[in-house]
Amino acid sequence: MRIVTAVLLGVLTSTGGFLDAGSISTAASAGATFGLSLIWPIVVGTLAIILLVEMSGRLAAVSGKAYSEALRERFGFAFYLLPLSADVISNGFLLAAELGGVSIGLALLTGLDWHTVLPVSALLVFAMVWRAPFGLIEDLPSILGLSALLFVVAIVVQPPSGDILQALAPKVPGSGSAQYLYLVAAILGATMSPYLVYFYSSGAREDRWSRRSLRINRMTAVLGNGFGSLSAIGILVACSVVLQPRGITADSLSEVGLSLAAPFGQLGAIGFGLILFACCFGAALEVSLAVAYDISQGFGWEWGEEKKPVEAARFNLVLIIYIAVAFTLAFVIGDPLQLALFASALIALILPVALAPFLILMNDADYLRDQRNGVLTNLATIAVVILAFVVAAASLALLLLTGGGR
Amino acid sequence: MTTPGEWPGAEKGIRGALLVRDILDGQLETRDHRKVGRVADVAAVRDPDGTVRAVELRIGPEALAGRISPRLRPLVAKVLRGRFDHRIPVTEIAEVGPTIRLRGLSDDYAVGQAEDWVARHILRWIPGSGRPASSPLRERY
Repeated sequence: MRIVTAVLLGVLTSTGGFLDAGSISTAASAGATFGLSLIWPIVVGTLAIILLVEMSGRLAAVSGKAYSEALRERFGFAFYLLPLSADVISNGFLLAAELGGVSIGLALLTGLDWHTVLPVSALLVFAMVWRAPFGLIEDLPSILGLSALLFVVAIVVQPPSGDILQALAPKVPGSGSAQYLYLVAAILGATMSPYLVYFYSSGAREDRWSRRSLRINRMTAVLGNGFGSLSAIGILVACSVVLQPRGITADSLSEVGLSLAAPFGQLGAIGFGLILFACCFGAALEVSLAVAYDISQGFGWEWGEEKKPVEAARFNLVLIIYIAVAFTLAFVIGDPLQLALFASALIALILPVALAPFLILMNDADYLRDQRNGVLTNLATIAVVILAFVVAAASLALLLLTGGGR
Repeated sequence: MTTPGEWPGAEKGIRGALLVRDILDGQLETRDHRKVGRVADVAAVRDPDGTVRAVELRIGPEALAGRISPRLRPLVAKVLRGRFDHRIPVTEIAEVGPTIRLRGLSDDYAVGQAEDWVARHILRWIPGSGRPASSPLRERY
């Protein structure tokens, strides 16, 4: 019975924790601008993140090493610096976007200006990572994040019309082809975000996973991310049904909220505020912790949410500095949706550095023993790494060409 | 580079020798189960009989800079003046495995006190930072 509860909780939290500012912004922009023709990158990205999350959980459960620890030990310090610096920079922008998302969610719920509540959002995130036990960090925002399934209900209430199969087909429209490809890269960056890998493998260590956790790991990775992607698809479809015909291009997160307000009225607007708050809050915790885990594990410092802050002092100092920097970025740059789109494209750019080591690590008998990748998993990993390289090359060109998608 | 079996627990001679790869970048953990850092470099000496023997583990930015480029090492040494660099004699190693266990407590090593310094000088001003129960060094605040 305990294993059923653990699996259920794992699946629920992964489902609820799937969305963040990046995936909401990219899905909304895609739906509002290009209709259903950008669902395919969400599906491809979800398959990739299922694979990556499963591997990082398996690595932690069998070797007792989180991904960052294994990166430093297996590839040495000079190599470890590459994914580390890429992670720190791209996630800085993403955390700023998540803080903005939390604030807009709070603003929609309270009627206050989002700039006014931005310090409150940063303090809430800090308070949670400062003292909340890992279980609470893992479960509370994710269970609240299940409210994002309201977007799936919106599809039932207001289904897309016309020839759906034709609408689903990938296409490169003549005039907006650069923006279309930019969104493909950003969606893949947002869906395959490496912070999930760092957070998940560290979480497995916080929860003291062992070989007995391998089944929970598989089910959480497949079902949690699988169900989670439904809410991202729900946002895309809702925006394509409500916003695209009205010529609204989802330039701000408040505009995205219209896609729920149309089918559900006032309740939809409140629901969107709650969804935005819960998803971005959960992601802000995960992103800030992922970076603190990455740095502390790589340098061999004490780390962990179950310890008092003074017992993992450098880990907590990194958290404080990182949240403060992201808060400043959010305050100065503003516009969380544009920040999230930019961060997602930036993450797409660094995907190869973060993901390529999986190919070697997951075949290393010193770490995985009898749980090394099979032929099929290796082929799938090679496909994901090639995809990461293609997405990175495209993302760099398109970031320059489109000036951040606009 | 191989180091002849001078490591505690290793057999004498090449058969029981450890590779530098076994310890480089390895997690250092003290007897009181505190993670104090990772091995950034290993210093060795040549004995009169020609044997190359590892003598100490290096931890800190200077050693790490040398891992990126040998040219960076003197530059970092000049800027930081060795302030954050630490050395641990190999005789302090109790066990080599996935984690390198040291014989002493965290307070016995300068590198182990870094965590405590941050706690005492920065985190103590923030409410809810907590007070660790054990460790004589920490009873100071």
